[in-house]
Amino acid sequence: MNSATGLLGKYRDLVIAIALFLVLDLGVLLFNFYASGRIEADTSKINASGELRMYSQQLAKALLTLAQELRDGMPIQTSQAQISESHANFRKALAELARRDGRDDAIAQWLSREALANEADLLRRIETYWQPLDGTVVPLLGKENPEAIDVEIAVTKVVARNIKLMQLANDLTQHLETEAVATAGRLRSIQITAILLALVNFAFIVFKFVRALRRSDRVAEVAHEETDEILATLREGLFLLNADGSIGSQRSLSLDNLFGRPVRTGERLSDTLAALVEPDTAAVAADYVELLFKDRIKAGLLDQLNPLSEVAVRGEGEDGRQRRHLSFAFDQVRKDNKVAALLVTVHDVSEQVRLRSELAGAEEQLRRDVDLLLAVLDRDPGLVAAFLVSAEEKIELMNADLQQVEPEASAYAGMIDRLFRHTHAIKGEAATLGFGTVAREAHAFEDRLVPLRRSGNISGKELIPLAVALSGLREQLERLRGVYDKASNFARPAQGLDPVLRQIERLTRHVAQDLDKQVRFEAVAAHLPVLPESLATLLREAVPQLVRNAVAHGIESAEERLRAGKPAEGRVRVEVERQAGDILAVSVWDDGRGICADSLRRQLVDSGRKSTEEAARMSERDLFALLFEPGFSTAATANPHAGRGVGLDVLRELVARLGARLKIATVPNSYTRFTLLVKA
Amino acid sequence: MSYRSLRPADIEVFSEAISHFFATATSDPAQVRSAYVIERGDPILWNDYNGVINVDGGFAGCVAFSAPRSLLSHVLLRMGEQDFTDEKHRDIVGEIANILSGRARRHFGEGLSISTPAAFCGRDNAVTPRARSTPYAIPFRWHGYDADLVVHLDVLA
Repeated sequence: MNSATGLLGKYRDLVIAIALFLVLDLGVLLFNFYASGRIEADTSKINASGELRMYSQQLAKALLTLAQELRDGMPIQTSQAQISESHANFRKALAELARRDGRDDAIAQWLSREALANEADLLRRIETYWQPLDGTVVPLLGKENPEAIDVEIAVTKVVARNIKLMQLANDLTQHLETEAVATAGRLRSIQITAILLALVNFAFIVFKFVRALRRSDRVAEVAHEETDEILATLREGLFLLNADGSIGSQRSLSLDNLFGRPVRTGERLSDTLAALVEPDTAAVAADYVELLFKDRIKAGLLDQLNPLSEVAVRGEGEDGRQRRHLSFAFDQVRKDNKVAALLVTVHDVSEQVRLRSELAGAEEQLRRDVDLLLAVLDRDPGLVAAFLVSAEEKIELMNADLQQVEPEASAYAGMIDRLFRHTHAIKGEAATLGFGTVAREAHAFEDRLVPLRRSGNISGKELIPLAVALSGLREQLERLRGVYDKASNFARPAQGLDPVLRQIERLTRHVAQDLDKQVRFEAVAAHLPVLPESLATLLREAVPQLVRNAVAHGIESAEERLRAGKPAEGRVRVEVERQAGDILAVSVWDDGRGICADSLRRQLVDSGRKSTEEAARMSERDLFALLFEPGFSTAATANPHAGRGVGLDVLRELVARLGARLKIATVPNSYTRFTLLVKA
Repeated sequence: MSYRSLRPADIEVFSEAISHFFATATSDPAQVRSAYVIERGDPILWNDYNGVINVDGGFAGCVAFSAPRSLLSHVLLRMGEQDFTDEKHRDIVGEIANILSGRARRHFGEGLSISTPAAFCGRDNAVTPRARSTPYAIPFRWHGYDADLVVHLDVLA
């Protein structure tokens, strides 16, 4: 209703002008009808007036003829008929002139009031002259033998009045003709005026309409320009998504940049998304959009389900480039309470995601630093310092190895084994001291080494990841060094074996927890107020490897132990004792499954390293020696604590370096004891 | 701004560019040797001729190719050159730096602002390290000569 009023209001002048134009046209049309009727009536009057004169003359002539025929005794029927006809026609013409049809209405009065008065006067005078004559002639009509006297009286009257009647009829005719011409002129003037008015009105309509149209066009043009400017400068992507899933024609230019390619009108959003995001996300997004087009669903309620609220965009950001993230927001556009389209807004949220990620990274780093600080503060500073020196030395050796190795497959293979040993030693020591970040980085380095050790033909290009992994490991050590240097101001160095054994106990618990085993740690140590360097090295580098092996390989799971008639909880014991000849003995004992020679033989055959016959011929000593070869492991799969086949390789290298001796005693399903003998 | 560590792929893209240069310019591929970490404090550039690109725009650092004169002379010979002036030797490392620049742009995207490749001779031209991350050296061996690719970049995380 309001819109209808508004519409009429907007075009009110135009509607009035058009209505006026129609009224004028209709008026001219009606006036034409009237004018033609008036001209017809005037013509009829002029004719009737002319007939009065003619019939008056005929009547006079017929009366004179009748009188003559009566005198001559001639037949009078013809004359009587002529008198009758002339009389009747005269009266008829008179009646015609007296009739006021079409000439006595308001318009006629307005057009020619004076002329009508004159006409009426002339007609009255004709009737005045006619009435006596009519009264004389009427008795003669219908009589077979009229009296001569009556005829003579009629002749006398007609002779006396005919001239006057003719004169009056003539005057009337002239008057009517003059008046008809004048009336026609006036009618023409009125018609011309009306048509001119109609034309003026038409011109007004055209002017008004064109002006309104131009104004409307200008408003539309300005609105269009404004829309274009807005869409051109809008940083966000903005477009309408039609119900058929196609992208509308009005959209912001930035959309092309956001999508990384030109967007076409009518392009389906599902196709656009398929090129932009992962297939799973695109499929979920298609379902979500479909849901939004349901009339009863409110978009606000589904915001949390929006799979595109923050989505990584495919195409860029790979191969080291920064990956972009987009955020899509959907608003329902309703018409008659039905969802006609979706207004989609697209933002580039890469910066927010990056900042959030940076913040999370910074928080994570802070947390790690705090953990590292707490770990450093919780450890014996002497052990941490010794670990750092040892690890940094190894890193330097590893980098020198990378730098100096000859580009030959055999040299590369030897280097890989050395890198493995160094990394494994760092990992073991780090884990013993509870420096998880360093241990994880060392494990990651080992992950890089594993495929290379299996590969027979290594190229220099394949070694690039090693340098990167080494850098990562070095960074973690530098971080630890930084924390240690700060913390060392507060830490108090501890003395004797206790701190070392506590570290080993902590490691035992940690490995047992990781591998879901129940283990009790026991330590039996001689009183040693000062640790000899050789013993300290064994405790730092060898014992953690042996303890890890004892828990990972020796101690069975609780179920397995119960089935074997053992307590569910396994035992790992570390003993340090003085022996004769200034020898120090360090042993790691566990009550696990022991080392089974037959299992080793089977493993050798299964792995294809030996034939069944060769394996059968091998002595237990030879078999146990295999445990110290690089890459040999009894574990089926690798985990952070076992399976690389490096631990005992490291031990062998250490024993050789320190000039120590190693003894192994084992009984299957009963125990294993590794004993290291070193000079104090 | 936070930077992420270089990934192996970030370094490989440059080593492949060098390999490609030798394979196409001399028909003899260069042998990539084991990459290693350049210790802090060691000079980044250390050979007779050095081609360097400096990068910016969300990134920081440089990529350089450093080679002895003898290697470059041999390369010139294989390329059919008769002119063995310093300028010609510089042109070779400059061309390699240009190739590195193209690869860097393709790999890291348009956000990477790369300086005009610079080529200069002499071991004394110190390059101020612009990146804080670890610099890597990737040695190449070609016909018994040793050259080095150095990648020292901070990449926007």
